[in-house]
Amino acid sequence: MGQNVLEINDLSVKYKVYEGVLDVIPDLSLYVQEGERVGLVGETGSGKTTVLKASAAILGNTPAIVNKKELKVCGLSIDGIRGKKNVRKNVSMIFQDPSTSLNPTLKIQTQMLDILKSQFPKKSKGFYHEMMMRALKSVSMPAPERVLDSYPIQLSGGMRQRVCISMALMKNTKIIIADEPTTALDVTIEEQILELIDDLVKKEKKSLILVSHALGTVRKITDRLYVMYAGQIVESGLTKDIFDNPHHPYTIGLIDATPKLTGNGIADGIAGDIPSYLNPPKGCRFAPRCPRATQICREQAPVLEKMEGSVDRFVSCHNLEVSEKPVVSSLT
Amino acid sequence: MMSNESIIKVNNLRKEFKTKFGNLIAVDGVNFEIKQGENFGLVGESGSGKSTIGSMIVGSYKPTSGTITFFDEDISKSSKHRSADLKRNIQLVFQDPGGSLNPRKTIREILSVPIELYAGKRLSRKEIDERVQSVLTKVGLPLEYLEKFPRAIGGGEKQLVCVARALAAHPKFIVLDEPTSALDVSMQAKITNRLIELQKSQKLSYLFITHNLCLVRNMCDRLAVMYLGNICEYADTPEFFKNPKHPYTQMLLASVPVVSDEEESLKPVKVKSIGEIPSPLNKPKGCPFHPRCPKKTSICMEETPEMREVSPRHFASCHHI
Amino acid sequence: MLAAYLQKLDSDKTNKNSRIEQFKRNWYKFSRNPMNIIGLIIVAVVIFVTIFAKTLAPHPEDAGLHVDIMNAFSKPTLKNWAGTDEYGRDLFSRIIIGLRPSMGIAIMVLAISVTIGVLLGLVAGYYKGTLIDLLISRITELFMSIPPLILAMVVCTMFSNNYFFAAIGIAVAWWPWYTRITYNLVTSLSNELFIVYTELAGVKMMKIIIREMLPNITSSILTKMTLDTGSIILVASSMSYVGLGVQPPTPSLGSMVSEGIAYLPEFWWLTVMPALAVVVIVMGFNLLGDGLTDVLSVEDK
Repeated sequence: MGQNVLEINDLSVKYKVYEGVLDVIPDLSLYVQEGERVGLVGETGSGKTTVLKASAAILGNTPAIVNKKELKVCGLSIDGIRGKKNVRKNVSMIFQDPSTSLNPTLKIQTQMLDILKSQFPKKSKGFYHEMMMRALKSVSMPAPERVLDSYPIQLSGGMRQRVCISMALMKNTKIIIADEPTTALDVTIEEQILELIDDLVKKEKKSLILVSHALGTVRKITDRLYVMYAGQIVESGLTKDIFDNPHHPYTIGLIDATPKLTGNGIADGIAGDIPSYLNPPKGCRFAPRCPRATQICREQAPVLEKMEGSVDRFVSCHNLEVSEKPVVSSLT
Repeated sequence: MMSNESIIKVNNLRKEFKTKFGNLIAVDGVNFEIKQGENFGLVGESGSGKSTIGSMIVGSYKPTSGTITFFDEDISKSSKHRSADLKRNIQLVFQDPGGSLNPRKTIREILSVPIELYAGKRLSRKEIDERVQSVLTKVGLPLEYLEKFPRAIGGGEKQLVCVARALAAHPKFIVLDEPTSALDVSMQAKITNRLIELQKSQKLSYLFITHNLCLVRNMCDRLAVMYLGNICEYADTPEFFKNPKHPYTQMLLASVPVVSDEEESLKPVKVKSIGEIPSPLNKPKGCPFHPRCPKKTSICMEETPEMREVSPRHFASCHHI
Repeated sequence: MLAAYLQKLDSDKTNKNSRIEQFKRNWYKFSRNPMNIIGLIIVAVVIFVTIFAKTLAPHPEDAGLHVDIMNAFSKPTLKNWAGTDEYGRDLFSRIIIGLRPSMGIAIMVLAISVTIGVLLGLVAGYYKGTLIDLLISRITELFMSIPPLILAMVVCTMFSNNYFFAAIGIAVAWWPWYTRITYNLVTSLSNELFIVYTELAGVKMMKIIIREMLPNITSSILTKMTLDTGSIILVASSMSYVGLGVQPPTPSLGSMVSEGIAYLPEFWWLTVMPALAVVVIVMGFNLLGDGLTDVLSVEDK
C-alpha cells in the first residue's frame, strides 16, 4: 500500500442537453492506492458512472464538457491519445451485463485469443491455449475446454461473468474497475463471483474499484468506501467505519432504507428525489431532502472535510454535531 | 385482520412449456394457500418458477395440471375464459414499471382504462375523472401527474401509477411480481411501505414475488422458497428466519448481502455457495438441489423428497432434516 | 361547478403543454443534425413549389406544346436557369411543373398503400397464428416478390397508359411493405407489458389495437412514408423514362431525362438538370426520413 494507482483531482463534468447544461459533477477528487479495494456507492443518477467513464477516458463519445481535470493512472496523465493508451495498459473493466460485453457472434476462444495476442504477440498456439486454460481455471470455471469452444449464449449468466473476469485478469493490469458486476446475477451466484473477485485481487495484488448501488454488495469486499450523492462525494472512509457509524444524513438514510434481516419494518427512505442537475441547489445538494437541513445548508455548500481523530474519514455536512438519528420524513 | 379463510389455494400445480430442446418444467407440483388479508412471499432465484406461478394465478397461462382456486371458484384457466368479475378481483403489478405503461398515453388515460372497463355501466367523463383522481390520491401521487406522460416521471412514481391502476379495479387480491427490484433502495422503501399501508386500508391480500429475502423479512406474513420449480421450504416469516431448515434456504440466507454486523450474526452458519443453478430444461433427478447440496447422500439423487411438517406450521422438503 | 370547470380548463392546458414540451424536445434533437435541417428545407420547398407550380414557373406556357425555335438549346443562363430544350422551352419551368405529377403519384400511392397495408397488417396481427394471418402473410409475400416497376408497367399496359394507372400500378406493389411493417410492430408490441396488461384485464382486442397500439405505430409509419416518397418519385421517374405514366406534352422528370439523352453530350443540361432535380428531391426526403427515424426511435425509448 501507499502509492496511489488512480488519482482524480478536481474533476468537473457537465453535459449539454436540450434543456441546458447539466452540472453533473461540480468538483470531485478521489484516489485508489495500490492493492486497495475501494467501493463507490450511490443510487441511480448519482454520477458514479460518469466518474467511472472519466477515469477510463471514455467520455469522449458523449456530449460531455470535462473541465480542469487532473486524472492520473499509475502516475501517468490520461489526457489525449497517449493518455488513452496509458489507461488501456493499466485499467481493465468488468461490466454489469456480461452478455453485452461479450461478442455474441464469436466463440469465447476467439475473443480471449484477441486479448492474448495483443498482450503477447507472436507466440505459439500451444502457448496461447495454455494461457487461456490457466485464465479460466483461475476463475474456477468448470469444464474450461468446453467453455472455450462455446458461444456466449451457451453459457449461464454466472459463467459469462466468470469469462469476463478471466479476460480482465489476462490483461495483467494494476487496476480493475468493476461496474455493478453482480447486479444481473442471482444471490447465490453473486456470492461466488464476489468471493472470486476478492480472492483474485488479493492474490495478484491488484487494486479494485467496485461501483455499485447495493450497499450490502460493497460492504462484502471493500476496504474503503466513497458514498456519492448528486455528483458529489458526501462521505468517505473505511468501509467498516461507515457501516458501523455513518455520519452523513444521506448515508444514514440509505442504510436505514435497506431492508434488513432483523425485520422490524423498513424506514421510509429519504424523502424526495435526486435534484435536477440542470439547476442544482445552491447550498448543499442534499439540503432539500435532508432532515437536518438548516439555513446555512441552503446557502452554502459544505466541504468534504476530514473528521478529527479519524482514519481517512471525510464527511461533507454542516450539521455533524447533531448526533441522534434523524427522523426521516415520509413520502407525503 | 388476517382471517382463516383462504383466498387462493394452489393444489399440485404443474406447468410445462414445450421448447425446441424438450419439455421445460417450470413449475413441478406446487401446493400452498394464501389466507384472506395475508401477504404471502414467494422467493426464488432465476428459473425457480416463481413468476410462472404468478402468471398462472392472473391467467397469462393455463396450468398443465393441478388447480388454482379463488375462494371456492376454480380459476385454473387462462384469462380469456375468466369472468370480468374474476379478472377485476385479481390484479397484477409487473416488475418493469417503464414497460407496463403505454408511452403514448397520459397517466389520466392510463388510469381510465380499468375504471371504464370494470364500471359495469357507462360512466360520464366527470365520474371517470373523479375516480381517477381518488385512486391517484390513494397511492399518494399529486393530481398534476394526471396530465404527464410516463417518461416524464421517475421509476418509483411509475410503479405507484401501476399500483394505482391495479387498485382502480377494486381487487381483492394483487400479484406483485418483483415490484421494487428495478428501483433504488430509498424508492423501494417508499413503495414497500405504501404497499403495506394499502393492504391494510383496502383489505387486500398479496402474493409478493421476489428474489430479495430481506424484503420478504420485513413485508410478508408467510413465505415459500422455491428452487427449480419446487417449493423447498414454507413457514411463517419469523419462524423461517429463526430456523431455516432446508440446505438451499440456508445457502440463500448465508449469501444475502447485508449492511450490519447484527444481521451478519442472524445468518445461519456459513454454507458456502457452490455450483450453478441448472437449467429447468435438464432438471436433476431426485431432489433438484442435490448437485449443489453439502448434505447430499445417495437417496437424494434418486428420490424426490416429500414436503413434511418439520415443526408446527413449518414445512420443508429434504431427506435430511 | 365553476371551480371544476376551471380545473378542467387548467388540466386541458397542461395536457396541451406537455405535448408542446414534447414537440420542442424532439425539435431540439432533430435540429442538432444539420443534415436533418437540409432535408426538411428541401422537402418544404418541394411541397411549396408543387402547390404553386403554375404561379412560380417563370414560363408556365412552356409546360405544353409551346414552341420558341429562336431560343432552342440555350445554355443555362440568367434568363433560363436550367437552359432550354429543342423547342426552346424553359427547362426550369418544365422541371417545376413536372414535379406535380411526380408528387401526385407519390401521394396517391401512399394513400392507397398505407390504407390497405396498415389495415391488413392490423388484421393479420389481430388474428395472429390463425388462417387469416397465414393467408394475409402469404399474399403479402407474393406481392413483395414482384418489383414495383414491373408490376406498374403491367398495370399500365393492361389498362390505360396514364398517370392514374401508373399510381395504381405502383401502389399494388407498394402496400405489402406497410402490411409487413404494421404486422411486425403489432407483433412486437403485443409482447410489451402495457399490452399484456390490457389483455389480462379483458379489454376488447379491437380497442387494444386502436387505442393502445395505433398511437405507438404511427410514428414508424410516418417515417416510412417520408422515406417512401423519395423512392416512389424515383420509380415514377423511371416509368416515365420508359414512356409509361405521364404522357407528353405534360412534362415529367423521367421523360425529360429520356428525351434529353438524344442530345448528349453537347446539350447536357437537357438530361442533367431534370436528373439533378430527381436526385435532390429524393435525397431531401431520405434525409428528412432519417432524421425522423432518429428522433422518434429515441423518443420511444
